[in-house]
Amino acid sequence: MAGNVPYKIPIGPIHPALKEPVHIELTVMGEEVIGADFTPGQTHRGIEWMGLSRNPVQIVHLTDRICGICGVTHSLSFARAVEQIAGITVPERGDYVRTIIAEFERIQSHLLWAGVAAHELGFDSLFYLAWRVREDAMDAIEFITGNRVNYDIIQIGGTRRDITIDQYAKIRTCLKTYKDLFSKLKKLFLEDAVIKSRCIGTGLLSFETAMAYSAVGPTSRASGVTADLRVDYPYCAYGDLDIKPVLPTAYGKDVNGDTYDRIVVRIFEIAQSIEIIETCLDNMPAGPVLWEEKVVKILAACKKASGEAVGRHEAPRGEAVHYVAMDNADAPIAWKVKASTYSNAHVWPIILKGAQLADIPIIVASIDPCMSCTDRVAITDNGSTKIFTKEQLSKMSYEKTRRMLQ
Amino acid sequence: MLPMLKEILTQSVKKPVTNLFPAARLPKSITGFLEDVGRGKANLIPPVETPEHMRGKLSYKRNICNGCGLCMKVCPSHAIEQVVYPVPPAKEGEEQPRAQKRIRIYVGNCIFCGQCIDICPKEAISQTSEFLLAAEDRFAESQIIE
Ligand code: SF4
Ligand code: SF4
Repeated sequence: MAGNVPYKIPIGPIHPALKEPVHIELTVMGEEVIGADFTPGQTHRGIEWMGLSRNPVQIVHLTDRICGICGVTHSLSFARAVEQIAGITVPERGDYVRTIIAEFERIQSHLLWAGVAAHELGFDSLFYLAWRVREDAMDAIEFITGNRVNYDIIQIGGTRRDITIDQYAKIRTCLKTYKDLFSKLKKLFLEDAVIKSRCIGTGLLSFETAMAYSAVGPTSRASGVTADLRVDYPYCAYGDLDIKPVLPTAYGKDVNGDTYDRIVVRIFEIAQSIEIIETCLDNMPAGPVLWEEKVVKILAACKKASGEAVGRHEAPRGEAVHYVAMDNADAPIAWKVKASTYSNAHVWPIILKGAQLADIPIIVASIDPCMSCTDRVAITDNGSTKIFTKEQLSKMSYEKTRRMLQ
Repeated sequence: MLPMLKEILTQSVKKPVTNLFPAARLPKSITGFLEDVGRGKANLIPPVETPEHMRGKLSYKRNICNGCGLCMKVCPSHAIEQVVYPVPPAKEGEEQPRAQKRIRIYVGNCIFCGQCIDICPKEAISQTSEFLLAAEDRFAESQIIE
């Protein structure tokens, strides 16, 4: 690019380099990015709206489809919100099964991300390797839940399937595979000269910025923020476990807040997840996994419930939040999903500033974005995008009613 | 240091993990290949085995179902609809039997959650491990369970 004129480069919403639709606009001076902005809302599918005409037992499986990777994150958050409103207590064993699935999900999600990161660096042999070893976690999930991607194991009040004693052996074999693999993964990802030279010092996110922009999950922990919902506000079986948020210091290094640190955190979180699953398997309490076997009774309990609640879960990408309000009816009167990427994507403009054009893919990928989870509302009017406030929408609605009455 | 180098070398002598379903090489014509398989002239490489209790296509026993409609209430994707089978008029002196309410499941809509199975009081629905369900017509015979 000639001269020192700043150029604006739009990428997306649909672009071969992007796995999901998102619009990124970069201002570049030569090879250097001097400004960046992004527009989410390109993958809006109206799931929340669909939920408002369904009962919680139906929605819980709809939530499984919000994201293709976090199969349990959304259903768990949603179920936890509904359980609070309806006053349903999940049996202990149900909590343990939920924890095991959630941690398997973290393993497969982090491996998926590690593969994507390697791919973004052009390191495809490592990408294939990461995705091949990910299969073991997928198989374990399929073995427990009956499906590789849409687990559908969460029910309001617990889980729909138990992990039976005869299943333990196979799960333990899978965990052992990962344990044996861990040192190899660590070496391949963290000691590689190419990865080091491309990732150390790129996409810097300082502790202060991570705090100011409320980054969550591994993205924030890589910048030294000791925040992990599993530790800070324990739920499910996490309260029984002795866990600490994983920081880059786990690898015996200082906190830098760069892309490399985000790899470190995720790789070490895989090890943490393996341990969590093992501990859970060892200490599985006996008893039922579901508050009430009869789905009809769950439906009745939900119908009687009224109130509002927030359900949260530390997803592989960071905290996911579901807000649910119910009022003595089949369907909830409000349902709002906030995925972790919504918090993390806001640091993009900061971490992209000053980067080289070629580093953009890995920096963008380093927060492990998931747009399908994030995009909850988009209003397009003749090509120009507008955001309406609640007041404006109410006003429009009132006006329409008035027009119809005339 | 390039630790991946050793890994690539060891991998290159290992058997590929990919299952070459349905054929090792792309046939000239897929339909031709499938016809050959049907005639026993070609061999199909089977898909990877499914684990026990995989959630695949549903199976429905109409004669057990009592038409309560509970399954429709919990189906997240509205894949189930009610069907009313008329009954012939009663003979003189006999009581007119009620029309039979049963269900129809559209495979194309079903997300295989298995919730209908959980709620069914008569155990009329069960899940098979069949998963090769692609079809061109969503109302084809294979796509409707009734
Ligand atoms: S398996 Fe789920 S989606 Fe399919 S028909 Fe049953 S309830 Fe509906
Ligand atoms: S819940 Fe069972 S018995 Fe009732 S309509 Fe559905 S299939 Fe028939």
